[in-house]
Amino acid sequence: MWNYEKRLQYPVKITKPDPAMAKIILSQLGGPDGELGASMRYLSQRYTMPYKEVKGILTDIGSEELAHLEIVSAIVHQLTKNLSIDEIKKSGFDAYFVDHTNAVYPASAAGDPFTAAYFQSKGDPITDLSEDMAAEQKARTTYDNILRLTDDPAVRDPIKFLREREIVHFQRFGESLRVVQDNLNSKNFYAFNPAFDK
Amino acid sequence: MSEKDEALKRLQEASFAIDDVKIYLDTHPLDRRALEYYEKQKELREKYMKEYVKKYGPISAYDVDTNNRWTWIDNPWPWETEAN
Repeated sequence: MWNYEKRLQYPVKITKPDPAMAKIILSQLGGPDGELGASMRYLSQRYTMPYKEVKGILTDIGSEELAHLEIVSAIVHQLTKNLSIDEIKKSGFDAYFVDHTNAVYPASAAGDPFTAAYFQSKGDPITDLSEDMAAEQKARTTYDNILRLTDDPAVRDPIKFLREREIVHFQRFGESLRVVQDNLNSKNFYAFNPAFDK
Repeated sequence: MSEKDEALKRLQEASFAIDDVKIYLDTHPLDRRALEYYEKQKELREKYMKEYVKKYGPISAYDVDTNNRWTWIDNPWPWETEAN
């Protein structure tokens, strides 16, 4: 089960609204390489993972991604507070506003709603962990691109924290892949699927 | 930074240290230095958690002090600017 702690993993204190930036950062909530897809990917994959170290990794990183979902949501929320209709129109936030007012809704920057098609749960440890490593790099690139698009230190600070976590998670998934391979025949990692074949 | 903000920051730092070393230990379960670091941060987190909850209210719904009122719902919630 999960417990909620009434605090963010990393603080978000934004005082300057920026609805155009909010729409871009929203992609790390419900976009193709966002935190919702990340948490659902790892928390779905863990059930067929045969090795205890990697069951731990998928559970713990999947849970941390839920905390990142909350951080990204807090950024989007704080960037879109107290907007005038004029600001909404001028910033291009009107297309989002008409469907969601200033609520937080998981979608990509281009407006596509979140879909589970963004991730896979394949039931093969090598396949799943290879996807997980790529996913962390894709999220890291997205955070790099967000950092290219904003100068506001109050926005950049939590984004830099999230970017760093992608790099750490990539490292941990690499170690997890090594754990899987150490349990397989080194002459042929693909001789059988340890999550299915007995 | 207010006293409350500082108390929260200490709690966040110790908690994050555990978040980070936890996933390292998942793949290095016998690393003595990491195990010691975990123990140290766990102690700090327990101390900072107690201090924060006593003064400023519950962080989890397991540690609500029900005097005459349900304080779990008290504002601000974490995503609000005032909480950070």
